[in-house]
Amino acid sequence: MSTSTEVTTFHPEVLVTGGKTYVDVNNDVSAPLERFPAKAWWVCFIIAVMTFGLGATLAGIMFVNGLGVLGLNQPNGWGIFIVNFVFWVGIGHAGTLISAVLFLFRQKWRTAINRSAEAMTIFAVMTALLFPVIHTGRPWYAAIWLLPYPNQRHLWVNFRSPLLWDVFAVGTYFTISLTFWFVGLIPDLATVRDRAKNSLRKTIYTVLSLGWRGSNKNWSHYESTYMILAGLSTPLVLSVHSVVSFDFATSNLPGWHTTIFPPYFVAGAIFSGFAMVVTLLVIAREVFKLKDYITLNHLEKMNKIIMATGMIVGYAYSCEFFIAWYSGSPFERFAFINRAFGPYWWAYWIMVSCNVFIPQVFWFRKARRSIPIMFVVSLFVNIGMWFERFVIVVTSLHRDFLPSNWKYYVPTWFDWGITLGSFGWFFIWFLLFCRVLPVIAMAEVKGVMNVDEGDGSHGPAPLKEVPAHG
Amino acid sequence: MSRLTNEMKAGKVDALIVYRSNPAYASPKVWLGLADAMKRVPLVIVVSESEDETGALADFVLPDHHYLENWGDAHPTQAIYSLQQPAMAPIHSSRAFQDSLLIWRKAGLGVMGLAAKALDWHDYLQNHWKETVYREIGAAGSFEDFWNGALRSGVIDVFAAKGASAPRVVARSFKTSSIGLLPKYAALKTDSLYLALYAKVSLYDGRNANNAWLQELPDPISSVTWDNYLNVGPALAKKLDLKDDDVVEVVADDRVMQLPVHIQPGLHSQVVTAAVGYGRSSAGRVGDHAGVDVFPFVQVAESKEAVPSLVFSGQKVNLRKTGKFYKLALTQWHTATENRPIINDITLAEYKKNPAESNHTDPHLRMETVPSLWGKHEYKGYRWGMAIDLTTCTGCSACMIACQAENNVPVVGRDQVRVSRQMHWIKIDRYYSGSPENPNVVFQPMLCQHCENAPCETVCPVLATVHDDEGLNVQVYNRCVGTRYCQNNCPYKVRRFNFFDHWKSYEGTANLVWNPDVTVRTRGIMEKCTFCVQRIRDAKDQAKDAGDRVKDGMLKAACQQTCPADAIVFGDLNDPESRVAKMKKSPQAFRVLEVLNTVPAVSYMTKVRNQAESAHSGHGAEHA
Repeated sequence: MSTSTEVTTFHPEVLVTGGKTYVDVNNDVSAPLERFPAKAWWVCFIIAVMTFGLGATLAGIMFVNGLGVLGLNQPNGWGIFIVNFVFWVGIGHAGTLISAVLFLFRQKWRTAINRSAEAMTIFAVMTALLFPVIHTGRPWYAAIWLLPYPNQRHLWVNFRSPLLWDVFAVGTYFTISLTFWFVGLIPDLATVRDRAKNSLRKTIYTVLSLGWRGSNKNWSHYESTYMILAGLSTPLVLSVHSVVSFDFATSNLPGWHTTIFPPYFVAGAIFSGFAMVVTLLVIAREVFKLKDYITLNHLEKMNKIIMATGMIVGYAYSCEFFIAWYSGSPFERFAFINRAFGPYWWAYWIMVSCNVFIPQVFWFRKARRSIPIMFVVSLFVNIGMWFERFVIVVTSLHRDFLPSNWKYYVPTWFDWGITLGSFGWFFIWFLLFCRVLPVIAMAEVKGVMNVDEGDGSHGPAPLKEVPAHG
Repeated sequence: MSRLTNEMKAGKVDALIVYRSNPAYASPKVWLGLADAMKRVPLVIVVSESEDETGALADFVLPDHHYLENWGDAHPTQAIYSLQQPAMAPIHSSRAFQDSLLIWRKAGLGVMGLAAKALDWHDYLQNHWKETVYREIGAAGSFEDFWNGALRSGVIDVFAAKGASAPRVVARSFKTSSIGLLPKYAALKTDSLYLALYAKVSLYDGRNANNAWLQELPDPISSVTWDNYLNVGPALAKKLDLKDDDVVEVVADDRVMQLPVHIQPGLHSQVVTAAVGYGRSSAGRVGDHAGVDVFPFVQVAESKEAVPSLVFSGQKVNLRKTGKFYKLALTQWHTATENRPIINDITLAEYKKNPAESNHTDPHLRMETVPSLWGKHEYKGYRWGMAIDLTTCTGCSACMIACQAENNVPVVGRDQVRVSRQMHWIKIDRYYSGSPENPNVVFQPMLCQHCENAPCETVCPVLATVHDDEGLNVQVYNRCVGTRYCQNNCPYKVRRFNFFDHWKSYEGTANLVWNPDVTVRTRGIMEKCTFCVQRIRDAKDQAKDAGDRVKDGMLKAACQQTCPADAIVFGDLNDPESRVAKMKKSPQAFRVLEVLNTVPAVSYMTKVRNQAESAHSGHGAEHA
């Protein structure tokens, strides 16, 4: 490992270390899929299922009794659930950014992380989508009535409502992300199919790989499709969180009614998404022994992006204060002074500390390349970004226009339990993904390897071992 | 009262009939030893329409009619008589107390061997009127006509009927002797504390304690619901290091009670006050154990000159902190307007100089007419609107109860008020200004403003709240999925979300309170003031039948109908002759948060204070 680190340091083009051959790639990446899950996986999985079970039980009680079990009240019509929604949609940003935007910019280092980042995106959006539905008073109607379907009652949706834009924005984002992810999986699914010994396993992966043969024609169709989908996804990276920010920006509430929200939300989403990717990858590369594929170089690049977006977010925080002052509106000024020094001052300063101050350690190369430091920082960033949404949603609502309506908001155990349950839900999917799909895009990694040169210790890879579809 | 209890204790009373009174609760019962005294009376009959503390001590409890089920009359003041006619058939197997008396009379006469004519209460009342009021007024027609006329109008003014020109004497005599029982101000030691007991507008002496509407009606001043508390002035609270919700022990001689503290701006630093009417033990499901019974602190003053009287004020007390807390269910936590353009209040001198005088001169708080991308709403037929006069509003909160009764507004209970989920469609906001020791108070009825540019309407994803062509902001309950976005975007926060199925707590006959013209809402949906749309519908139907438009005064919103000060005026803004249209044009009219360009259909009239110094200084001070 020490020698390989040296190599990486002096030759940044080397994206895969450890002198891997194409066969090594197949073996290493497919290994977790082909053996019975280890004890650690089961422990994690059972914890995730139990956490989800807790949230689902609490949500069930909530469906039976009403939203009164939550901490919501008269000025605070939205609370932790909307915070969670925005948080999870934000997490879901990094995947598409890494896959689509970095792909279009020919950033080859993305190949090591794009698969798991995209998976994370899809599961995060699936988690996010739970909240707008269950936070409504009558979710059994909300799930259907927000869709503009033709009906004989002449009922239609309100196209002026940002909540409806959300339905389209998040719905589109989820569909495109899922398609993009699945298309990218096809060659790898075929590899898994070809390696399968069990007939059921073979059948399943045969169906999933859509008859991939690895032919020239296959590859040419695949690559153009992939490019088109990357192009389609790119504007979505910007649009989803812009539209989510419209929920707030187009309202008239001081603290929400802000034109800076779309870019600020997108930067924040990328910021938190990258932090979540770092959190997950630091664990995954350890557990699945993928350190040669997800190298410190990759993580360092991620950390640089985290620091950059963190500073954009920090700029947005200060800009908000300036505009509040500059506007001259007493409502605006009050909202922001109240944010930092009012009853929720603690939330505000948690947010600023986690999002602006703590990521500054990445100015130091040592910190950028230290696994423990980046792990801790990435956790702090996610805590900070959760609090950012809390600050926006709650501190603006709890003291709005008429002082007679002001009231503190305190979440209940139902709020926290269901929030915890959403993490369980996310990790159930992520853990299943690690067991049934290749966590690294094998086909793409092979494309960025320089096997012929090797690093001298293993010699060139024998040609016959290169799979036809790789 | 003390004479009666003494006689009861001495065994001089053979039978005691208690009619619609609850001395075992609403009296200094401990002081009097009432429970013991009642045990010595061989026959105790309590006539009551519900269970109470006195009934628990009775040999017999006679269920009386509710007043809506019974006949009755009244003579409120000189030359005015009124009739009370049953509004409904008795629900339970109750009997009017007056009928009981008549039956007992017949039975008594029978025992004595005398025949008595069987009379029921209605006939008796009619006969009585024939003998008295009919004779007094000297009406020309038959008694039948007179009686039917009296029932129709409900009131007989003998004075007016006779065309008397002499001024009517309406003042009641005031018992000056009771003043002598109060401690003399000069004699008070400056470091002593005195307790004053008072009756609340809602529960009065506790007779209304089992009425959930009244329990949940916020006190107009303190905004506390469901409990009584010890009012402590700000200076005293500072001195004793007391905070809101601290539980203190109030000690006077041998009596002790524990009450949570409410810091009340404007209260004298040597006085603490508490409301009677709480802490009942046999009121029923709603009233039992709400608050603390402070009647034991009422004293009976015996003096030679005067009749023994109950003394509610002036007792010397000591306060002791217990270290315990009790969370009072307030409906308003912040008491200042923070200099926002919510209230306009000026002095009489300022008003005389310029009736349009305004508190808020900051250009950022002034409405500017700017070009709009959107077309304006057109109101071709009616345009409903409201005007509320802040000068005449006393904050009595009768409008809140009227609205609750009319619009099936549910009661949510103490715990839900604590987390600010009360459902009142109209509420009374109360703001203080000036010094906490002697603040100015302003009341502002706050309800859905039915904005022309309603922020709630644009954000609902399913079009459950929409603008109608008569200026109403209507809420479609069936369509609402409960995103609560409308509530967030409402600058007035007058929308109410159904967090639970509150109607489920209404059992048995309580369901009779529902107004059949108004939907009972389920959980998960938003509701709010409709401007009594069911009344508008009804008035329009009636006008249509008559081939006419709804005329001004034909239609009243429930809050308006009940306001004793006539502070609320509702009507058609498209009719230039309507009262509301005229009030809206008055220089005193202003709209709350006008700067937001929501263009509310509700206007308020500037509060004019008859006081020397400027009333609108220091609105920003926070008192609570």
